[in-house]
Amino acid sequence: MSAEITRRGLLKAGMIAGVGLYGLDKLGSGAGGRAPKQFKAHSLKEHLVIARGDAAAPEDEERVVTQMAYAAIEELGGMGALVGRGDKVLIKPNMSFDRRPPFAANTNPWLVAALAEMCLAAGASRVRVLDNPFARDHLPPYRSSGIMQAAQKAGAEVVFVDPTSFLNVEIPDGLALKSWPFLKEVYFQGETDVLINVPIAKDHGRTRLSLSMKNVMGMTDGERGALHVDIHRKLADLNKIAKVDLTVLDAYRILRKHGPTGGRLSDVDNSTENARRIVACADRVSVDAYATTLFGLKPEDIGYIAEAHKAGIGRMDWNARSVKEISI
Amino acid sequence: MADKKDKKRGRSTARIARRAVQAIAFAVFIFLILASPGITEGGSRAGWIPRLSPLGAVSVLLGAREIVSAYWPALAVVALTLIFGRFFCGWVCPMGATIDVADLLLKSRRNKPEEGPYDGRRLKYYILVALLVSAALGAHMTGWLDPLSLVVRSYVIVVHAYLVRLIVGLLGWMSGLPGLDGPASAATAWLVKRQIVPPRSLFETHALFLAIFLIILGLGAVRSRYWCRNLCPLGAMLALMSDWGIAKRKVGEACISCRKCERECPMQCIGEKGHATSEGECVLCMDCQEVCPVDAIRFRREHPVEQAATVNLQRRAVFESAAAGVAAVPLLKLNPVRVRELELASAIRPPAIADEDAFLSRCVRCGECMRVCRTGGLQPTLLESGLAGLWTPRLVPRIGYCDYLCTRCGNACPSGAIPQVSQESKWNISIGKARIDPGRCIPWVGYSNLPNLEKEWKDCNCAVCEEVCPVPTKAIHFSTVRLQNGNEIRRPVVDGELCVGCGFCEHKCPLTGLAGIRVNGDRQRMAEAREDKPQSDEQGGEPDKTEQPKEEAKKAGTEDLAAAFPAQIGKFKLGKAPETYLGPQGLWDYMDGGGEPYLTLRFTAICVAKYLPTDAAAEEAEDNGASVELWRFETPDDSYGAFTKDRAGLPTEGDEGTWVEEGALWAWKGQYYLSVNPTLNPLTDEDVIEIAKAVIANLKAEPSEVPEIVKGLPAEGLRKDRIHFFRRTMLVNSVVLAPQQLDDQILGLDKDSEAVCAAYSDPFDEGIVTIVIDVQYADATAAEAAAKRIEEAYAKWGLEKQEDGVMWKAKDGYLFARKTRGGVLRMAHFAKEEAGIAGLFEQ
Repeated sequence: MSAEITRRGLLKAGMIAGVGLYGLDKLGSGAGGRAPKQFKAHSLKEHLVIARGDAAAPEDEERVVTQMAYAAIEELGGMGALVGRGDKVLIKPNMSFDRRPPFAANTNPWLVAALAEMCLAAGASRVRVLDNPFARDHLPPYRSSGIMQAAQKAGAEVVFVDPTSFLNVEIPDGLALKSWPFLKEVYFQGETDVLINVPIAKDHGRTRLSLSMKNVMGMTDGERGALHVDIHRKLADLNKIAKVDLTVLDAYRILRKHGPTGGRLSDVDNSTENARRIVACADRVSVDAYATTLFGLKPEDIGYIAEAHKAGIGRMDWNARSVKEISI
Repeated sequence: MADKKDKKRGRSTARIARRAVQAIAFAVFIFLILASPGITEGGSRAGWIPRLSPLGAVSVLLGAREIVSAYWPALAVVALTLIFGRFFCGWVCPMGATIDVADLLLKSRRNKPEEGPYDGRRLKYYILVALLVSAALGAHMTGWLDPLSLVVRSYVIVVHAYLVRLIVGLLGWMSGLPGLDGPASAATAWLVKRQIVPPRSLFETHALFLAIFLIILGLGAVRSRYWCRNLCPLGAMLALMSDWGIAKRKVGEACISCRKCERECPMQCIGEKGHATSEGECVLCMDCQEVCPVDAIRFRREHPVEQAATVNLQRRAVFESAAAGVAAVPLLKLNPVRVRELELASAIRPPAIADEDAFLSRCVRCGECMRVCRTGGLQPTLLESGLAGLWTPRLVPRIGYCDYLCTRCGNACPSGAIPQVSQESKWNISIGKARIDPGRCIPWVGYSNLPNLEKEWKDCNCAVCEEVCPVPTKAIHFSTVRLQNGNEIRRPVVDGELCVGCGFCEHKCPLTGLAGIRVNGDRQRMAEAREDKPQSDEQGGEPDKTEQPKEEAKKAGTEDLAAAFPAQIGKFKLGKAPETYLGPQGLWDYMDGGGEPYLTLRFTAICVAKYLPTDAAAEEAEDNGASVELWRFETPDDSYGAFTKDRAGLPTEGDEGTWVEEGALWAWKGQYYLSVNPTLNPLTDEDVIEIAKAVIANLKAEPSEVPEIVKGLPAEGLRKDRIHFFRRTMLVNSVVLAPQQLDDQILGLDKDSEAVCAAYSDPFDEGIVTIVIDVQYADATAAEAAAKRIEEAYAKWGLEKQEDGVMWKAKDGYLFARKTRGGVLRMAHFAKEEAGIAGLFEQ
């Protein structure tokens, strides 16, 4: 074969290479016809469960919080009522801040670990734990929160997300958003069968309170700061897309001031009146609505709760459903 | 024959040994670049490569007049050079290794060298002289040309950044392909976890560094090791030290003058038909030994004098280069930014750099800090800090912020230009100060459009900056305005005392382009350790009890406040013990950003108590009581300001200092200001008056006169319920002073200013209210200057100047006016009739 490059040859090779690359690229991008995740069919009870407990000494915290988590899920009908054999479970705690657990900026690590354990015991094939912290480097918050270590010990995979983990998702009938980048794990049916949201209740400058529906922001990417303008309606939009099957709110400690980052122990409320509890329900709006009372507020004080109620994501009249209180 | 073979093997071993050492040194260099984030993370020192440089060490010693102990590896290099000669360039230097590879690639392009030792190499000695002279005079330029700084910088900014971007890009593309996504994602995750992938994509001025790097390597097309023989100042320095080495090229009797060695020598330091060697230019690569057909070359301690060829430095040129070094000093120090001695410098430096000059004399421009920066925010300067600061690190918050707990850059710095700090002290270090740009910040812009906003409410609150602020008590607070329709607009305000200048707010500001909150470098503040800043308790589990006594001690001197609350007032009894909050920090604890307007006055403390009815059940009592706030300010004027901010309703009989409305009360007495509000259910006016009287009776203060500036207001038409004394416009920003924002800069207000804003009923139309603002200035000149700024603002708002020079007219017919008398500037806004305005200016 001649080593000479002919015009025709070059054009031909260029075209083949171009078409090939384009095709490969097409293959690799987009939803590719994959179905979006639907709510998992479950037999969880309708209750709003409040599990109370208090560790006498710091070293008891792991045991007490684990017991509280088990008791709360038991009261809802057990994890088996939601997670089936072979299911892929995604647990989304709040582990966005480089602060240790006593500062109440991140979800309690033992709660996350207990939920992962229960899912695995119920037959889940895979339990993944992840967040999309707004810090540039995700390792320090993962590590400081204690969730990475606790979840791995419980047998869950701790996943680090990167910009390629997200996919722009259309939001039909969005109130304030037309589309937003969501985590593929959250959006696709094949990626996740059961989505469990495990937020911590805390103060938040923009929305007043950061609760479960605010925690959904961590399942998304993009220029998240832009969500802050008109945030309440935007949070309702995001929550329409995120098919959260179970919400377990950590209120073992609540951050009353200078949230969501915190950093002062004096801003953390550890009282049995306002904190020291775990709230679980399949309806995230009810969980958030109840949580407002821990801060001396009413559900309608928080814009996104009202918007989510209006949008039919759940019910904000939490005391209209049966409330089960248990104590450890 | 066997003997000869053995010798040949021996010679090959030397060459293989050199290649092996060079390769190992280069591998270590690459490893250190890849691993330095992890090394510095643990608190260990990195920056090993630049610390090998005696040139860097001497420059820092001369410039900073300090022996930096971290430079001990450079001392080892000196010792080894004294023993072996200029081995470093051929055996260790990663720049040398890079050039060797590049030279190999460029071999076919290189012209045949002319014969004999090459003479352009004197240049590097002159460069060395100039660099050291200017370093001694306080202008550090060594880092630009020190090969170890150069090579680290080039690999960090060019090679590493480009390669990683390429690899990650490919992996990202592969992760979208069926079947490849698993391994590709795993590989990406591994690279990210090992921190081989930097957090930024590329450096700002990467192309410049690429160009410099390519030019230096490309010079290999002219001569091999062009940089090393002609330009490298470290090479010059090591050459000067290599006289006593034990390994010198010695040509034996067997030499047949074939000149193979002469052509092979990469440094071109062999002459005299292979016999002579240029002193100090030989880098002991031993290639000549390898090519010699008769095995006549050895490296030995003794060195026949006749085989030495010296580099002839011209005395004149040495003096000239020293003079150039001297002349460069003032040139480098010409920095328009610093000429004005601005407290706020534009470049944000890494943490704990107190003195810019000391920093510049130490920084060797190696880029190690930029490699390890956790967020990628550290970028090489171009001219942002003057020519003298070229390629020093600065934080660019839009690219990456300074992580609150990260101390890596100090650990990476080879020369101590960035001090090493512990995590505990990092929290206390401020590198700058954030400022809101009210012209861009979303809620501020929304606020300046208040009239429209009120008609058609759109939620323009944002608060991303407040959310991300890592300071435990938040250095960003809100100034809240509640509109009549119940909607709120919360504008972020920076607390300059608490702000550490990390730039997280600027980084995350959702505006595209220029952020609405921006950080300026502030080196003066870096120098001050701020001890009062609350510390996070990294060890403790629950709140630290030992802090309590300190708090109590601080509250000494505020007993007057708590003591003013009687245990029983009529049918009310005091709830739990009154709580005192001291200073700005205390006020934020009590009411967060709501306290911001009050802090524009000289606030000292606030004490809060609840009075509960005795005749009600415990639970009901809580809702039917009164909440009492007792404020204390430094002067009666300040408390008057707070009082006039809040009061509503009508004055009580004969007492302008006490106002009551619908079961709420506001009272002003001396430096105290008192407010009584129902806890939930309405109270009667009688109840609140009774409570207020009982509290006020316990205050040791005389009623005082209203501030001087308030007394100067014309009485005709003055609405007594709408007089506001203020020092900053924030206090009155719920009052519409002007059609558009009238800020502190325009009015020229500071924390000691005295100003009043009052409303006047128009004598011709009851419905029209004219706003009058009086501001007291130091003298008439200052007042005139402020008046000028006001006129500029008027013009900007589209007002039209009237003939009399005082009056301005808006398109909708409203009249505006401004006039100075002595040090007082008076403005009248929104008047309907000229006569009305004239009346206001008659006095």
